[in-house]
Amino acid sequence: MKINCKESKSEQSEQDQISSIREAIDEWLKIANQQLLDTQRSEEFLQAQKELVKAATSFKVKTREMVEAWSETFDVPTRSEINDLHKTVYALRSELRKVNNELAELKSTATSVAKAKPSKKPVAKAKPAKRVQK
Amino acid sequence: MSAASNKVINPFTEAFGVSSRLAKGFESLGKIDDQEVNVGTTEKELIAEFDKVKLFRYTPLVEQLEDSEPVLIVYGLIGRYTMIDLQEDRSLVRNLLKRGIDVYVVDWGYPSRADQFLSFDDYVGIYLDDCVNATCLNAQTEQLTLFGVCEGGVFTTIYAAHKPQRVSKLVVSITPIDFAAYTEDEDPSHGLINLWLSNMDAEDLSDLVDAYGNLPGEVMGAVFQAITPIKSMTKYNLDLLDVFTNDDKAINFLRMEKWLADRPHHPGVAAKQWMIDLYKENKLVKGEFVLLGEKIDLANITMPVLNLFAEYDHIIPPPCSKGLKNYIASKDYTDLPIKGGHVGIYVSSRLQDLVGDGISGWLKSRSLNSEKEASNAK
Repeated sequence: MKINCKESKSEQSEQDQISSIREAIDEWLKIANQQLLDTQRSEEFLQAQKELVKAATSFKVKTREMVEAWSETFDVPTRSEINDLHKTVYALRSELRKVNNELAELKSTATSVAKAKPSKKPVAKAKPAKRVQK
Repeated sequence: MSAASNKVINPFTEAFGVSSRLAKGFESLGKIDDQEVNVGTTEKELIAEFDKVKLFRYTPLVEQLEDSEPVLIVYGLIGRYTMIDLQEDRSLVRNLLKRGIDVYVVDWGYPSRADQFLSFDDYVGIYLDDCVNATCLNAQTEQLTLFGVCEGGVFTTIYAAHKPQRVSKLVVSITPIDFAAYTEDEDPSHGLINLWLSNMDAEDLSDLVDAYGNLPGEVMGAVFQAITPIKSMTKYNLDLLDVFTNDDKAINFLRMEKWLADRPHHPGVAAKQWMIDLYKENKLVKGEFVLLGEKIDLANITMPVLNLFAEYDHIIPPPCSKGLKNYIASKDYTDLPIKGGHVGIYVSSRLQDLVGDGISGWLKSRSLNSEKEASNAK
């Protein structure tokens, strides 16, 4: 690998020579950072990163499968079952929100209709529901 | 040969210097109390709550508000909104409040695996809509200014295109819109996240999120560390020698660390949309991004737009932000480039007034009062 030291102090004027250990370290870090950034953009790195992510995901999934096999044996709820529950709750919540919105719209329409056309006859009170004797 | 080049490095002097700084550093650390390292302390009031989402109104710092129209700040799901109110003298919120602006903020809370199925439909189409309605109701206005930060900027942009009638002005900052424009940025330290996500297969990204349920905050933290490799390596050793020699620097460093460590998980379905639909497939600018069953057309954005971006932003390359103007139909569009980094534009002491004045000046010149004055003059 060819290191591009154009920016390094080694090629600058004598007045800019490194005068402390800290400066030397900073200079080294600057070059190292550039090298790491170049590496992180290289095809080899991108391919390796892709494989690493796939392997890490696969490891996580396989570990879960193992734990779930054990859990099912001992009737312990599994992550997959809990995920199913989360999905159900999410769907129910969405449905409930939709129904509530529709109800609110209906109420608002009913109110505006009632205000627009006031009925002449008073509305008869609904008879109270009969209690069912147990 | 010059005198400078004759300087001999004395290892004993250097070692003594390091020891002195270490001693001073320990002294500084010893003085700091846990209670002092707090973020997001500006006083605010809870206005509404929707599941885990909370809407707050910041208590005004001046008696007379500049404009009756509120500004709703929307942060993203990556990191916490407290970045805009890191400490008293480095706070976007306080800068706006001091300039007479009525400020509200959305707190998305801490999503858990129970929230893994939440998508942009939920966050933008429902929760953000709820927050907009609650803000307008509280402020007794029909419209408001939406102010999106980072991923929150994408939320607000989508919302403004979806419901333009509710948004009088749109401010976005450090916001990616054209996710493919990172290739136009020549700085090699910029756009690594774009490059890495473009390189991944959609299926692998989807599997990754499914394996964890959400996109874990720790994974995003690790990605942010990886894109500044040397900085991440020297941050907790070499750099500390400089930081802990000054009491103020030390406490600022700890506050920033506290914010960085406070990284919620990104809900799974929304994370897939973020990484695949937006980062990989750039659907927003292609007019293919779908919200609540409808394709989002950025040309619906006709209200005044202020686009604030950081010129040294390594996370959101400036060309990705600047791309916004190419897709909207607003005739009143302003770019506000700031010479700072992604987080630096809000937390740098140097930029506090510049950013505060830039945003409030733009808002005030387009406020209801200014419009009334202009029409009276006619």
